[in-house]
Amino acid sequence: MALIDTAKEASVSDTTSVGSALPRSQWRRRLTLLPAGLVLLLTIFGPILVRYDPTKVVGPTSVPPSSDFWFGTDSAGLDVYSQLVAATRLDMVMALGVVAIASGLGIALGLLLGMNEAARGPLGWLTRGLARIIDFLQAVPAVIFGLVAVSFYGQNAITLVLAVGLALCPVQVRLVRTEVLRVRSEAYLEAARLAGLSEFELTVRHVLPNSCWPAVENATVLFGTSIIIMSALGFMGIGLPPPTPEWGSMMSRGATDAASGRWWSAGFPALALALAVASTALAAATLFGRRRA
Amino acid sequence: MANMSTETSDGFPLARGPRFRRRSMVALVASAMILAGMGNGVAMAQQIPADTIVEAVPALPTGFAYDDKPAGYENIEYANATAGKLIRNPYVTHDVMSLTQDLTQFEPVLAERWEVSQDGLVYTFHLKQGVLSVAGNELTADDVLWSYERKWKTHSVAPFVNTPIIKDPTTQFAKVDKYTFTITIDRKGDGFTLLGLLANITGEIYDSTLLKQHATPEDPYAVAWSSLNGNFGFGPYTLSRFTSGQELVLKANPNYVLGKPAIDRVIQRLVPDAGTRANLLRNGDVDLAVQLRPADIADLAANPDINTYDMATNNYVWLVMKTDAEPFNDLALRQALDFAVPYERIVEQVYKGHAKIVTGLINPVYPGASEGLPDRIYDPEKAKAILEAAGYTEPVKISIGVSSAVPDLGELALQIQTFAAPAGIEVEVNSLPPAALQKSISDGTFQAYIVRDMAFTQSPPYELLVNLNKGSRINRAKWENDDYYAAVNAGIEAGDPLSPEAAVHWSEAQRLWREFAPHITIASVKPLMAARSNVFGFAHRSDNVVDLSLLQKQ
Repeated sequence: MALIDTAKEASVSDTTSVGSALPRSQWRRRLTLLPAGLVLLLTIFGPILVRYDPTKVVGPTSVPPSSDFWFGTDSAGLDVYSQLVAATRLDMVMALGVVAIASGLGIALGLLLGMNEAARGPLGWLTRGLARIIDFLQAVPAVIFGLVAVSFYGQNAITLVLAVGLALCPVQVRLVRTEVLRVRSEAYLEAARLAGLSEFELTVRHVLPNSCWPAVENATVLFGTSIIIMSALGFMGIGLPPPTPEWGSMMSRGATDAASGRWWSAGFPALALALAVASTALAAATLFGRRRA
Repeated sequence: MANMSTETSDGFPLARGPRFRRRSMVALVASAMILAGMGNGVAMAQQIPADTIVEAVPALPTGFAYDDKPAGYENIEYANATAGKLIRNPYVTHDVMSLTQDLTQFEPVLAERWEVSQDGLVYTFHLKQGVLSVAGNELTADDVLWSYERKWKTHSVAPFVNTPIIKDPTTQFAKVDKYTFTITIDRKGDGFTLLGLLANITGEIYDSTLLKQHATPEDPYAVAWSSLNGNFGFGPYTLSRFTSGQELVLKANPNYVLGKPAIDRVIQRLVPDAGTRANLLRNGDVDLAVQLRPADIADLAANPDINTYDMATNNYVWLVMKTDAEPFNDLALRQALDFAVPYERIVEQVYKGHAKIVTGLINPVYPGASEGLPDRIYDPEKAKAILEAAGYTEPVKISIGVSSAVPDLGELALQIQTFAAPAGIEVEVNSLPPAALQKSISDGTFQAYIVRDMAFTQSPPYELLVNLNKGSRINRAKWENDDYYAAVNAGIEAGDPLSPEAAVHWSEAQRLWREFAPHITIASVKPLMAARSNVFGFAHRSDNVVDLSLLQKQ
């Protein structure tokens, strides 16, 4: 009885003050989307929000934050604020590309493995061989992927996106494969076979929609992970060439200055990176949490 | 409803629940942080003894024999500290706190004196007697001849550095008696350069008695043993302890020919990050920090407890262009780029005034060295006019490589990128890891690159030829000009390289070099090292390392 009373009290206390029709929990959920919204705005409108050309020397070197340079200038004389805003679009778009590659390829391979791993004959051998290759790839750190790719194909966005996307693909493959193994023994699939559907149609129309959701949810985690990995590559000096604005490269250039007290050229991009990753995770938790509810 | 804070519903007191555990954890973490902070403070409060210098270095030697491992500041500093040379450039006062080298003179170290034959071709050296190595073996002429034999018979860089002055020690070096030997050169005018080579890196003399004991059929000159063991010379310090990845400790040699150094112990502590090295110096945790960033030098210069040094150096920033391939096979582009570099801005913004614009190749201390050479000027309009006259109608795209391990060069390249654009030159900056940049340089796949480099041996003809010799593998610009070589040879034939007669030819050679612009020397960087104000005797050297034997501490 006490528990029910408590629950009633809780639901009453969740309502907002007089004048608003939305429950407090809904307001909280909208607030959690705010940081991600800010990042999205910067991604879309970044180029018109910069004050200076982010790739040109615009002022004295190592100037602290001021009215002329809101986030200061770095050791090369580039405006930190302009670089940071420009880097938001670049890092977000590259992360999106990584997620698209990892998820698209991951879902396709996961379906293939899940449906054919137990098959006999050459198809089964090939599929099982592919599964072992994917297991091996998963053991290789994504940063190594990036390093090797850059050494062969140079420092450019396409190389980095492809390399990191391939590195993160095995995670999605495993998720989808596990779901496919569960789904493929469902009775409705047998009914669909009896109705005359080919294996391909069966896979695309019935198995795919019922097994890809874990990978879709995990894509938000991969989004944050890919931002971190690409920033790590930039920090190690094997990301995009200077002065391309990118958070990792900015932190790398500013790290030694930070050790000497000139914190702004590494500090602001670090904050931006943290905000982007945290806001993505928060938004994902909110959106997918509502879906499950 | 139950009282949720302290009692169960039956009235029994609750076990200490989550709120208590959380408070305990917070208290524990706070205590740990306070203790850590106190610990740090205790460490910082410890004074460095007066007979010890602690030096923060970015790297430790990769080997203890320069013949085996010639690369890197730390390898040169180690060789200089532990191996003696026959002669050296004397040190003269620069200011109250520091010294510099007199690059026009030489003074004895292991040698007591030397004479030059009438024709200027034979140098006779008389060694000091009774000089003992770390192992207790006396220095003799045999050590000198064996040392040079080892340099030429192993994979040492010495032959490369000493050519064409010393080409074959077996024919050029001759023993006269136990303490006397001669060196014969081809041209009288090479004599000054010979002395410079003997006074600088690759001029080290080894304890041949000790090394022969460790020779093997596979390693007849004990190169491998010496690279691991380190104490085989006649230098002011000996290797006391080496902890890989942490520190190296040197102990003063009481038998050093010039007297036991004032500092008994030198501890070189590995601190890879330049900012951290500066902080350690600022806090008094080290006495000396090397290879700092210009911005940190500028900060430290304002600190009354720190000395920075402002003497001009031979540590030049070079823009090297490959003249035998596109796009820099076009002289007009090279000449245009010369006017598209923002020299003054680079000195002020990148080096914070701790550098000086350089117009020539030869050290300005040599008389007449830079006479008649035009100033380095940033004039994008002039650069644009040169390009237009050469038929360029579109912006020219060039690529400049820099090492990602040298931040000031990357910053310098970005300055060039921004300020060359109005001149119609679009610069792509290729920031590469050191090994990748070196590979592109060795393979000749670069267009241009920026480097900080120096000629250790300071002598006009040597400085003119070291990076431009015909057929030399370090003539990276691939510029070979017969008129240039003729001018240099004429200067050598003049005899005394410091004479007005020779200076005429050095000026002509440099005029040609400026005209054809295979390189652009942007600035000479003042010493990127600093010391606590109670450390005296810092001396700038042409190899840009610290002569530890001169340091003193109050």
